[in-house]
Amino acid sequence: MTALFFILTAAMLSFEGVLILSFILPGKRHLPLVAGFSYPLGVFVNGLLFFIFTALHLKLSPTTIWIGHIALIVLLVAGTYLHAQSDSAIPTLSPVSQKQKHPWLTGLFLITAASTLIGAVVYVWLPLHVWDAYTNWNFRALQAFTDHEFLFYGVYKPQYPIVLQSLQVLFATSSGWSDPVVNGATYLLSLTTFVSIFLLLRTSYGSLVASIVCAAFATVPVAAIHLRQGYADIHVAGYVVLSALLLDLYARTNNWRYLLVSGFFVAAAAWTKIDGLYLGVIPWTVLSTWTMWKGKQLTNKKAWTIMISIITVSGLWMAFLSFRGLILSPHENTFALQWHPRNIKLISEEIFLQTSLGMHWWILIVTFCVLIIDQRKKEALKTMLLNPLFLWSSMTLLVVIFTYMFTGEGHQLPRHASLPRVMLTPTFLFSMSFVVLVANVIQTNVVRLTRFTARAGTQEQAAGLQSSTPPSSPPSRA
Amino acid sequence: MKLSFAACLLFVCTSFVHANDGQRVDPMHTQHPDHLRGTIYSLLQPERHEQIVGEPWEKILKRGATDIRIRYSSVKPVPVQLAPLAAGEKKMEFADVLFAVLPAASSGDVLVSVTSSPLWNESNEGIVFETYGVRGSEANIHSTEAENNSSPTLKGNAYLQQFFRPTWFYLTAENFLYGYRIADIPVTYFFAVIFAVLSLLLFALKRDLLKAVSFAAIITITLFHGRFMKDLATNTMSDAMRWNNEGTFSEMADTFAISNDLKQETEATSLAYCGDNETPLQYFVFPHWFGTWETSSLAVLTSAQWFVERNTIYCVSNNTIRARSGSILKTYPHGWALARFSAYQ
Repeated sequence: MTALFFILTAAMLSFEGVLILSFILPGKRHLPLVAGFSYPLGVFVNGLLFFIFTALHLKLSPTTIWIGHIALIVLLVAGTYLHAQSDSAIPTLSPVSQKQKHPWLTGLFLITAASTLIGAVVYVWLPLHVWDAYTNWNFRALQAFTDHEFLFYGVYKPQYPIVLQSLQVLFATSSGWSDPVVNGATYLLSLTTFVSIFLLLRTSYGSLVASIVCAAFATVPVAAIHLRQGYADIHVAGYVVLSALLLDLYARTNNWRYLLVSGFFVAAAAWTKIDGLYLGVIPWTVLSTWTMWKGKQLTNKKAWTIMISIITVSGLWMAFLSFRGLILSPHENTFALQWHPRNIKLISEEIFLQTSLGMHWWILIVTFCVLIIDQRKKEALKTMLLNPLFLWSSMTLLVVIFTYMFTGEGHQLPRHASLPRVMLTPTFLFSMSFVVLVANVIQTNVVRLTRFTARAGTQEQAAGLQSSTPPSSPPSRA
Repeated sequence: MKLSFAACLLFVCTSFVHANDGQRVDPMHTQHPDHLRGTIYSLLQPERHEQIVGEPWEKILKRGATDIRIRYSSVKPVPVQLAPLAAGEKKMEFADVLFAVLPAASSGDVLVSVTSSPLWNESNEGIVFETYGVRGSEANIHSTEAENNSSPTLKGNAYLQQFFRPTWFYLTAENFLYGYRIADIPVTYFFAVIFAVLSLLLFALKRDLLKAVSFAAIITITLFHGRFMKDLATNTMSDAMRWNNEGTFSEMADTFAISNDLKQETEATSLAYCGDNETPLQYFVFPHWFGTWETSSLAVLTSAQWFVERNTIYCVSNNTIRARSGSILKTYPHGWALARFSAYQ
């Protein structure tokens, strides 16, 4: 019975995600993506619903929760019927049409990624076994489930955003509180995010690249550990990667639909953990503006509306905390400027010498150097430096280094408390952007990738994106 | 590993031997301190009034020492923690420490190697060690001596053992891993050399640096991941099997068993905790809360940190001793106990 309720709850969240996405990404060719995105998006929507209940001082009782979700579904279904889609401005994705190279390699990389994911599933059935979850994550959700409200006083770190805890409370409401149920719900989020990343990459860059990227993620040791019974860091990284890929798609199509879905996922990252705000929302804001400028979209009202809405939604939780008189960070001196010179050595050790991040950073640095010195690939280098994926990666790395070198968070470093897991997002983003770039260079597709970036908005065909509008039509505008 | 550990336990618990001169005792992989306490408790099986104590760490200086020779007598097995003494001021990590069990002996003479510790190399300054025993009947250590039995074969074996030494997957593994080291050098350096050599080889063959580096990167990551997966898979299987067979895993010891019993406690009650860290148990016993030793009705006593004398329960934690009259309700396999204080009996 527990399993049945678990499946029904997951299906309900996915259904909500599908309904929302059916407005934004209609069309048969979007179906695999919509299916992949549905659960991660449903999880975010559930978090927002719980926030509305909390802001309105409504108890998080089963009645409130189910009425809220039923009302949401009714609204979305009604909206689907009322809001007829005109097909004219809807882009339809078609996967990169290239001959499938090395299918056995693709298979091997997928097996590598899958083995980590499958190995991690064992821990769904084991009791909770991760440090911060005993205080900040599962415990806070357990308290909210027991008391029918999120507690803000007399509890550990009430500042943490509530997407994951809301997810756990929702599943506990349907299936009863147990570690397998609540850990299963968060594991499912990791799984669906990984699958979505694979599907999106496959659509944009082909199966081989998609499988290499997934294998690169799964071979980061600390990622493998977080997949077992993770808390927010792996989910922040997943949401940010999804958002970055969709922003990359927006940069190549100038279609607001991808910007909107990208915005949803970056907001979800901010609502999952405060790190999502500075690893996700800040780079997203900068890069969206930059992309709009590059694509001559600065006068596009729809794009601006999306940007302002996403920034507002992302910042709601912080505004709510301020309104309640809570300090914004659970750590002392997070926002204080402090210089930690000895952290240079510690950061280098954690990135290169501890096994938490494997060999990834050695390889990323060498690959970067090779791209710089390889004169034949100058065009590729230029493309890389202007690519949103690479720029986002660089921003996250700079933010992390700045945080540990120049703020009060630097005190955490000698205690090994957080750096490797915070580095998950930059590691994922850099691995992905380098795999995409190197694969394109090796396949001698430099020109194609360059063209996406240099002439964004006019080369949908070249990007593997086919618009149902005639080729001569201008990019869709609001 | 589990079988050999069980066999070792059976051997040391049932035999009282005249150990031969220089009998070799193989050290086992390090355990987390919380887990280690449970193991020591199982070995020494103290009575409720007995307290397990650790002798202060002792240092024996000898450059490049490979073994420690201990002559001793003890009626019980002697748990020993030992590690190479690194040159300079380098701090010793728990992951560098080895654990060995000396058999009960009237006149023991054993050799324990420290070369499988990732801290060991030929520039080490000596060996440090600590023994455990039940207060009042601790082992008599007659003499200790560091020996240097180094040879090329031994070094080769030692470095291989260090490379395959499993990493820890404990509560804090989400934050960082201790990492693999050989001769106190992080293995990432060795993999970086492999990466460089492979890149050059492939470049010589293909004449395309980017391709060469890309393929070398894939091979290097695969090799590294293979090493890590060995530990990850072993740990996953071990945790799953221990959970099925013993109802616990990792360093959780009796946390699950005791929390199940506490959930049956319908009486509104407050709990005291004797131990280093109540955080995991707090989650499992919620909505019960841990209170102070003085005001609580029940107490959770964790392994090797408590003893009972004349109806008084003593808790030794963070170098302080707290005492309160009461009785033990139940003891658990890893040495934990549930106690009720007298005022509530």
